[in-house]
Amino acid sequence: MNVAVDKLTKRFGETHVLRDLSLSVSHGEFVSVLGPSGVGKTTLLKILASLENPDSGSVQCGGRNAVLVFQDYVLFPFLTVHQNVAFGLEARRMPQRDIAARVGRLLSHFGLSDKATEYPARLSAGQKQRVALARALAVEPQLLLLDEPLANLDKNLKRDTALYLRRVQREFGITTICVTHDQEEAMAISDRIAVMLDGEIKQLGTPATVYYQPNSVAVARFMGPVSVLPNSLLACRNASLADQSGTCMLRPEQVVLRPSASGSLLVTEVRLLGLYQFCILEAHGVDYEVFTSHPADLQRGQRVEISRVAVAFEKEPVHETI
Amino acid sequence: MSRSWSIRRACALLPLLPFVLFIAAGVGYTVLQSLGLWISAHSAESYPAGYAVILRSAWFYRSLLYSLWIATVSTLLSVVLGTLLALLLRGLPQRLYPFALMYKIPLILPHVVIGLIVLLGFGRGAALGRLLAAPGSSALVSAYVFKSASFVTLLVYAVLRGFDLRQLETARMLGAGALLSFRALLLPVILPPAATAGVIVFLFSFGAFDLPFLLGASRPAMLAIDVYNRYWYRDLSARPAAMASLVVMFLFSLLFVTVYFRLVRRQKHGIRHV
Repeated sequence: MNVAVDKLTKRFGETHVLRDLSLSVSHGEFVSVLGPSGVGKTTLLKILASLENPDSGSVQCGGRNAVLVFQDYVLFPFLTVHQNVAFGLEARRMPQRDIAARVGRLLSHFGLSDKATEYPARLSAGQKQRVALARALAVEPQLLLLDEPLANLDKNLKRDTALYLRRVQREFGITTICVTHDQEEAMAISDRIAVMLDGEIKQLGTPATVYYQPNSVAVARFMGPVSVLPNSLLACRNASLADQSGTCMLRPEQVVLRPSASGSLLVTEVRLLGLYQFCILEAHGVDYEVFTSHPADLQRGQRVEISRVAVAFEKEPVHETI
Repeated sequence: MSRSWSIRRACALLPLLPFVLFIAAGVGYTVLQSLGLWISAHSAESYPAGYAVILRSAWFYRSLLYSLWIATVSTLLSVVLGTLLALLLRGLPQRLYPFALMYKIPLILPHVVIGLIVLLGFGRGAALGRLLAAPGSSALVSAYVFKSASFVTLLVYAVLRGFDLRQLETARMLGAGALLSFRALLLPVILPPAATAGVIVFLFSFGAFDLPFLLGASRPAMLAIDVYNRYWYRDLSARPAAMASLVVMFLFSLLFVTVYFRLVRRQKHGIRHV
């Protein structure tokens, strides 16, 4: 099933939440809508799930065939795990024997068979998420909508759960749209990422594309640490990301600072931020904020020259289909 | 250590002592009078116990049935209307809620004021009174409902405020209609406070005096009126019967509450785990 969202607009009072938002998702694809909190991601999901009406624009996604799994799962507290999963099938008046068979298969698939008679209050966060997924998938929706699916999980669990979600999505072959504010989460889980800023989709592409080939400084900055530098500062001037204004956006792993007594840049500040360093480099009275992974032992007062290295992902073809 | 713990527990319960003594004295005095003892402070004369009198009296049974009927109808209507109002309030946008607080007005009005308001509506000359076949009962039930429905709303709404409306959205996405959503999701939330409110409203309606005095029928009368008439408008020999009626009302209320709490406890331990 293709999802086609065309020029969607939504206002709440004076606040313009969605502005002419367009998005298309192919059958079986996993797309994450990535944006900061309050940008309108959940509103978009609710419109896709027919829980909100847009002010203008159109959505083609099967309406009632979309099921939204909320961030905190919203399990029915007075129903057991089995009853939760069976709820949609009971609503569709499916014969009891078929309900029992389908629910049994789903509970077994999600490793919940031994929890069938438990109430949600007794489940862990991970178990609740699996029940919510099983409940949604029980009705075989054409579109699955996930609202911040990893937000309630420990950092250590996030990666495993992301891979798990991805596996489930592939096994069921279901078109999925997920919203999140977490870049790592989006990259770990998605076929494509739609970066949403100011109520609009600013860029839609593969994780590698939006990360290494952002179409604006705003998208680049939202996707992670980025150094915006004039081409003239780079010792190696083959920057594929250079735009027409003569600046270049580089990720920490693309920036190499080489200590050199004749270097044109002076290190005035260095901070270690884990996998990379943040430094302020001064040249001709202008300060540049630079994120770099190489080298790890920069010192204040050093003179350096700067060059970039290409990374493998950049060679991937670019699919820009906003 | 166990002894000191017992003493500490006894001390903690000490503030309750005046209430316990007051109730025990009241009940004890009523039981004594119902047995024909200690009828008057000025006379040591004893009278026959009142139980034989009321159990042989057709009036007593008619009053008891009439009281039960009024209490049952008032309770059912109050619970249904109060719960509907609570659901309506839960669905209101937040900005309208201050206006919706008007539902609390009957809670703060004295019973006598509500009685008078209803009396004006159900009096012989009033339109509602002419419309309804049994103005006394209708007026009484209306007054109870007017007063008690807002109490039910208060209790049910307090619980409904914690109800996540996204449950209904999820149910809708899964294809559920309004009836299934209500039965599976809302009813388990509403039922406990509605039942508790219902028990309180029932016992209040069953034993109240002021509203039946203003609005109720006299033949048969509500039990409280019957007790009042026997106690004050007849000679001392009628007092044991009046007090025996009171004891029966007390025992009935006690039984009613005990059965209710047993049912609630069984449901809590047997079915729900949330």
